[in-house]
Amino acid sequence: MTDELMWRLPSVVSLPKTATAEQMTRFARQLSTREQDQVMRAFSAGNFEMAATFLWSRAMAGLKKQLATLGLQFLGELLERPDIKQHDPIANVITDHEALRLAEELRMFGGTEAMRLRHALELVMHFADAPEEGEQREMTYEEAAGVLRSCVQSVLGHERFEGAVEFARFRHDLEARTFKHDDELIVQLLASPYFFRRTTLRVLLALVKSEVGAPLQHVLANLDLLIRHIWPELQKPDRWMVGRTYAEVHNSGNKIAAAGIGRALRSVNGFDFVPENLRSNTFIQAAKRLLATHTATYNFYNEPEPMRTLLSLGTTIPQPALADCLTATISVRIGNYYNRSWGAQDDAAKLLDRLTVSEWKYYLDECLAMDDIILGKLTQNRTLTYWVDDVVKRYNLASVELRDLGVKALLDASARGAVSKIRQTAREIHNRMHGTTEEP
Amino acid sequence: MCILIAAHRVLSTPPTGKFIVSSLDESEKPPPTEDVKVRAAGEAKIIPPAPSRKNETATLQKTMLGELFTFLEQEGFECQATTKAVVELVVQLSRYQEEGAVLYPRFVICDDLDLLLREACGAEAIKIGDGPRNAATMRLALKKCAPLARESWVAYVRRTENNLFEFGVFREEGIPTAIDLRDSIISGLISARNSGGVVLVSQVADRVVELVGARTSTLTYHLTGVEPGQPSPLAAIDRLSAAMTRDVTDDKIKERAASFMRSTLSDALRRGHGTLIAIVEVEKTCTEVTQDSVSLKTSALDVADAVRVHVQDASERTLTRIFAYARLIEGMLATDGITVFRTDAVITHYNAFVNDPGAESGALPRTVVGGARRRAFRVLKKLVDAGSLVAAFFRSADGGSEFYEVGR
Repeated sequence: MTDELMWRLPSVVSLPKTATAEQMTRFARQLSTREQDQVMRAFSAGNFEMAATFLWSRAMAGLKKQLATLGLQFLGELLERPDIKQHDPIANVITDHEALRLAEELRMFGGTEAMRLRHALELVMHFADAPEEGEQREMTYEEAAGVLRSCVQSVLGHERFEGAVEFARFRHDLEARTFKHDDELIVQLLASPYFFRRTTLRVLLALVKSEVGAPLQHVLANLDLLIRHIWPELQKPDRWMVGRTYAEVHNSGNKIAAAGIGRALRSVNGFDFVPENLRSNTFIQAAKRLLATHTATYNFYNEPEPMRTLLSLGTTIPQPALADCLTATISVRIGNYYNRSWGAQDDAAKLLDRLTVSEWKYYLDECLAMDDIILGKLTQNRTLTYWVDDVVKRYNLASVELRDLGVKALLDASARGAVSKIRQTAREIHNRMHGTTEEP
Repeated sequence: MCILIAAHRVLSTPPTGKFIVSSLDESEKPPPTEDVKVRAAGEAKIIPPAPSRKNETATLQKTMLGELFTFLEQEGFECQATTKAVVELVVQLSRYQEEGAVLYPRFVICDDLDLLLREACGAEAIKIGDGPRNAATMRLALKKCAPLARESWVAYVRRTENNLFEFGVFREEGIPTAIDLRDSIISGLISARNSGGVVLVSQVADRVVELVGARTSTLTYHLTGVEPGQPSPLAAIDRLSAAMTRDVTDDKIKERAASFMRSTLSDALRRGHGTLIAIVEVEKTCTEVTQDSVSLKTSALDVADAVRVHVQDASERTLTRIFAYARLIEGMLATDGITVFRTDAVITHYNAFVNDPGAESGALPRTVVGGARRRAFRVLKKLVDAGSLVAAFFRSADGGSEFYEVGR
């Protein structure tokens, strides 16, 4: 129902569950026959890393090309990366991890595909690292086939991958007309899962910063309408996002945008969420850099430096930056499918050790349910051990009183070390917020 | 709105009797009903009693009180004590000195400081003190806060729930392209209706004090001898900034460049001794103005470009460039002569001088009262009328401002 009026999820290329690598490769319609043959030869010869790396790079190239049709400046605003300019080559400025995040957020594919692709990214990055001296590291057939399946289902299997087209239509609507509260799109949006409302809010805030003239007026009016309706249920990190945007446009001298967002904030008494200063931006940028390092090649070697930088910014993390800082730090602490960066552990632990109970409560109640990165990690066995021992038990998180019963159940399962329950609950929370019933 | 105020005024009714009795202090004044006898040349004459004589002293405070009470009432401060204290503030701010140095503090009077800080993107409020809600506390606030309220720091006086004045300072972001506090108030970004009042009081030129209220009123006091009807100097600067950036092509850059110009010019002109500015079209030159000038030639100061670079790549380096441009413009405006801006926010010449043909030939009477600057402005206005200039701006040393553009 939601998909019909907002933006439809492109269909997933259906692959038989028991399909072999050869069979799946034939579904990769975006590859030429010659390329398909090369992939199959690599599989036959046992060159799984080579096959997986090639497939991954082609999938990412197709994905980024689609994203680029939305405009680099807009993508930069969505990612809160002002360094991205309109005419930058997308392959140079947007990482694979960011491309996945954007694609998931803009519904270019579903949450399940996004989780699988994130896992594939970890895999490809891990094997792209030079092995340590004496280390035997070989990708298995199953791992390479997993990468192949994810890439084909989400991107390479489409005749023409046009995942951004639907979203572009929706975005055009937001900037081309002013909606009324009883317009069908608004009614459906308000009835949709949280994920849709948050994405719409993020898109509107990004457009506020990038548009001028009549489109800006429409965007501001639609933002005002949306904020008035969704503010009571809006999670605090997203409220801070609105407040931060107000501060940013105010400081950049954009009076029209500041007046528009200010009007919306005033209507919901939301000025408490305008940060006192933009110091929180420093933390957010440092956290983003840490997370980008965590999801890139050589992450185990490179994480200590950005982790130390984040730790050194100050003993108290401003609340507007808490969600980003904890996502990045917990990611470092629990690592990925292949383990974690040992050199970054001391500083990551120091940062988490400083948190107060109320800060943990804020993260667990207001942020974790929409933290796809951490929830995604909690569906993996390796990271679960560290999550249980170094996060939940170490800080006694199961004893924190929470409103979110789903998160509470997740923490209870974690405290008991009930691995399958943790994975199941993490999936349920993800599906609840995204409005899906998918089984990753 | 403009009010002329004499610092001290004596009302004296001419006597109808033969002898003039000069005005006296209250203590020296004879009883009005008593006849005055004067003996002259052996002749006695009865002088009839002098008509009752008004002999009043008017103070600034007394003169301003009613006007300010009405203004503050409209702005949500219906309070006699606050009004008296603000009168004190206005008088003091008109030319405030500390240890011989002239200071230009901005004071904001408010009820809800926290909300004001968030709406205006202010930060780091530092409380200095508090006291009873009266003029004496306002004087104390001025004494303690004025030396601190420089550059991006603003002094505040908050009315507390228990009828006190709390005072201190807070910090604005201080970026020249940002929306400053005055702009925030004028643009309606401050919600004074729900949270009491907000009034910004600042000296905008020598002995000219402006009060900007969040509920749409602005009141300007010229504590000089300027003609009635003078607009606020900052209103003229608003129009000047808009003209200077009219042809900046990118709307986003235009708005920020105008904001930069506004804050730079208002800051520079408040300190200056008066100035003249000419604005020319992008593709045009006005040799009448530029022939005797310092030309920046190929190094013309492109403010829009500095702002554009900063918007695209906000960094310490780009911000430093913007601050440096502000200081350079301040220096140019401080020189004698005319500073020439283009409509795309580029400065091409400064220290320029124009010939006044009327004055040289003597053919024209010197109808314009004033010095060389005002006469030069008359020439610039003619160049505007002739289409050689887009607009001209004049600021006298006593704070009077005039902006003149085509069709005005």
